[in-house]
This record gives sequence, structure tokens and C-alpha cells, in this order.
Amino acid sequence: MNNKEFINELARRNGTSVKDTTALMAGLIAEMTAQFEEENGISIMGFGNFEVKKKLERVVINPSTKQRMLVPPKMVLSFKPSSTLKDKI
Amino acid sequence: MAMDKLFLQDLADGLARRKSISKKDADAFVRNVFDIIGQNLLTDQLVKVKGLGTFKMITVDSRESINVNTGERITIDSHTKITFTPDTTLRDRVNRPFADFETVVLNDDTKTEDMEALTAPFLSASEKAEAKKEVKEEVKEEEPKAEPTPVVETETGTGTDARPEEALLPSEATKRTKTKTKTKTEEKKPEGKGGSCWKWFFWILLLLIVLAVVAYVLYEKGYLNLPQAEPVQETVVEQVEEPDTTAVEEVAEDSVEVQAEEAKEEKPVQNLEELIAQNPQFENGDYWIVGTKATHVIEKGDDFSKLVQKYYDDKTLVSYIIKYNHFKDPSYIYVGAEVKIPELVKRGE
Repeated sequence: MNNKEFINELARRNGTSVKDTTALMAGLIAEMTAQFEEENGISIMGFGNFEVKKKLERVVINPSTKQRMLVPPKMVLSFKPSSTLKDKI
Repeated sequence: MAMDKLFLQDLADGLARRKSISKKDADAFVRNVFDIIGQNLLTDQLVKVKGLGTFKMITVDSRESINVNTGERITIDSHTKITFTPDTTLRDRVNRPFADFETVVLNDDTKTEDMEALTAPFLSASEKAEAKKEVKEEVKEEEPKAEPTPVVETETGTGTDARPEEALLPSEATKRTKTKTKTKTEEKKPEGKGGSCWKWFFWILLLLIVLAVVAYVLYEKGYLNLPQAEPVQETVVEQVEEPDTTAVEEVAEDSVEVQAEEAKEEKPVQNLEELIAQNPQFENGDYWIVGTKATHVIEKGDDFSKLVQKYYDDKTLVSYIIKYNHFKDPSYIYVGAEVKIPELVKRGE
């Protein structure tokens, strides 16, 4: 399911126009992004948890060149499906 | 607000505020969003949402593994799992605090321990201050003190920073490795600031010049050190022309000191025995203590086992640190205390 199909389905369910739905969706994404930027996690019942995790820096070695590289630390967004969603699979 | 856990309700409230719609509508909307994602994930195996990312169902084949507790061979059944890959824009926004960092290729001679084994600039200055005091007392005393300066040089050579540790993000060290020259000037600045430090500052300068010359003569490799050392020295001299004369006068007054310096430069390697004699030693140890490798300021959470791990990567050497610092009660270290890390030389070498 790509983004277009997703928006269409969402519009159908909410009974709103595709244009309005797109605008609302952009608002939701903006809200979520803003929360993730503050390192807040988001927990959706029956769906899963979004969490911002900090990865420490580490040294990796390129096996073919034996070159050692220092990979900088970073913040990543992780998602863990809830058990109810897992059970449906 | 940071590190809070938010729920669907919070998202809906935020959305209602942003789009000025009723909370009820917003709530229904957000519920539908995740409902659709969840449902279509099951039917389509993949849901792409622009701005958020891609949810995917992946089939994992069955495989053999070993139970870590019992050592038994077990089979992990084939199963499906859900993965989420954030959109690049979202990923970059989340990672923005660290966006400036890049992956850096490490030189072969740069060890990770080196990056952390730092000497604070003020401390190295005071070390040399000690050195000077002792010059006036005795010629011999001076020789071991030749050690701190070369140490400083090699540290800068490998790109190690001499700023005090601030429980810094390790990646800052990365940045520093990239900007050796910058680091150098930063090191110099704090030394020059304090007006009372002028005197010491000149002695350090003098030592550096003499060392550079001697190094050049002694080692062919020393040529590599020179380009690094020279520019710094020159700029420093320019900055401080006036006090320079006073420094020269001082030198003239105590010609003994000059001789002492020359003497020490000429035989920096041969004085191992004297170094051994001057530092506290164990009768039956594996190593000789020959000087100060670094000075460590104790931070919260430090203990001796961490120190030895960090500086020597060998936990058996705790006793050397205790001996060198003359700790009567090793359990008594406190945050902010300065611990001298001894330079060790394997006996019989």
C-alpha cells in the first residue's frame, strides 16, 4: 500500500476530501516529528511503540580493506509492534 | 518534556491544536490512521506513509540456534516480523543533534585509548612548573622532567586533545582528530591567558625549541615533528616579544639552568636508571615507574579499575597507580581529585 492508496482509504473512512485528508495527515506527521525531535516516545495501543534511541559511536573495520572507521553517535527512531498487532499476523 | 511517553490521545490533542479541529475529530482521525496501517500491513505486507516511513512484514526462515543458557541446539521456527524504516526526512530530523558528525577513517597509529587518555593543559603546565623548580635545585633532578615534554609532543602528534575531560561525547574526539591544528592553538591559549603564567610559559617555550632542535638532530624521523611544532612556536614568540627579553635575562642569570637543559636534551634516553631511582618502585614488580603518563581528574563514577582499564587496558596495574600517588587509603578518592597515571616501562627491557 503506497501513500496514495493510504490517503484514499483514510479519506473514505473519515468521509473527508482527499485534499483535507492530506492536510490533516501532514499535520499529524508534523506533530509526531516534533515529538520525536524532543526525544519523546509515542505509544499507540494495539499498534506499537515509537521510540527515539541513542546509538553510541563505535569503531568498525572494513573487512576487505582492514580500514578502521569511527562511526559517530546518532539518534534513531525505532518501532516495536505491540503484541496485539503481532498476534494478528 | 524530553523523554516522555506520549499516547494516541496526546497526538490527537496536538493535531487538534495545529489544525484547529475538534479533539473528537482529531482523535477519530489518528485512530483511523493507525488502524489502516495495521490492517493493510496484514493484507499488503507493506504500507508506505509519506513523511513517516515504511512498515513492512518480513518472513524470517526457520534456523538453528543454541540456547545460551543450556547449550542445547534449538530450532527457531519460521515467523514473520514487522519492521519500520523511517522516512529520510524524519530520520534526519530525529538525528539533527548529531547531524554534523561524519564517519572518520582512523589512522593505524591512533588507538581508541589514546583519544581518551588526555592531559589537561593546565596540568601539563604545572608539571613543567615543577620541573623548573627542580632545575634550580639540582642538575640531575632535571633530567627525568624532560619526559613530560616529549609526551606532550607525541600526544599532539597523534591528534589527541589535551583539554580536560568533560565526560564529553566521544565523537568530539573524532572532530579533534580531524582538526589537529585547531587543537594545537586551543591548547596554547589557556596556557597563555593567566598573567602569572608568563614565566612558566617561557620556560615551556624554551624547552620546546630546544627539544625540537635536538629531535631534529637525533632522529631522521624527527623531521615529521618539526612542521607541527614550528608554526606554534613562531606565533607565540611574536605575541610576546617584550617578555621575551626578561626571559633571556633570566636565562643569563642562571647559566647553570641552561647547561642543565642542554645536558638533559643530549641524553633523553639514557636516564632510565635515574628515573627509576626517582620514582617509587615495587621491589618485585613487572614494571618500572618512570614518570607521569597523564593526570586524570576523577569524575563521578570513576574507580581504579576503570582507570587502569582506560590507561593500560590491564586491570592488574591498579597497584602502580596507588603506589605512584602515595595513596594511603585507596578507597578515598573523590570527584575532582587529580590522580597521576604513571608511565610504566617493562622491566628487563
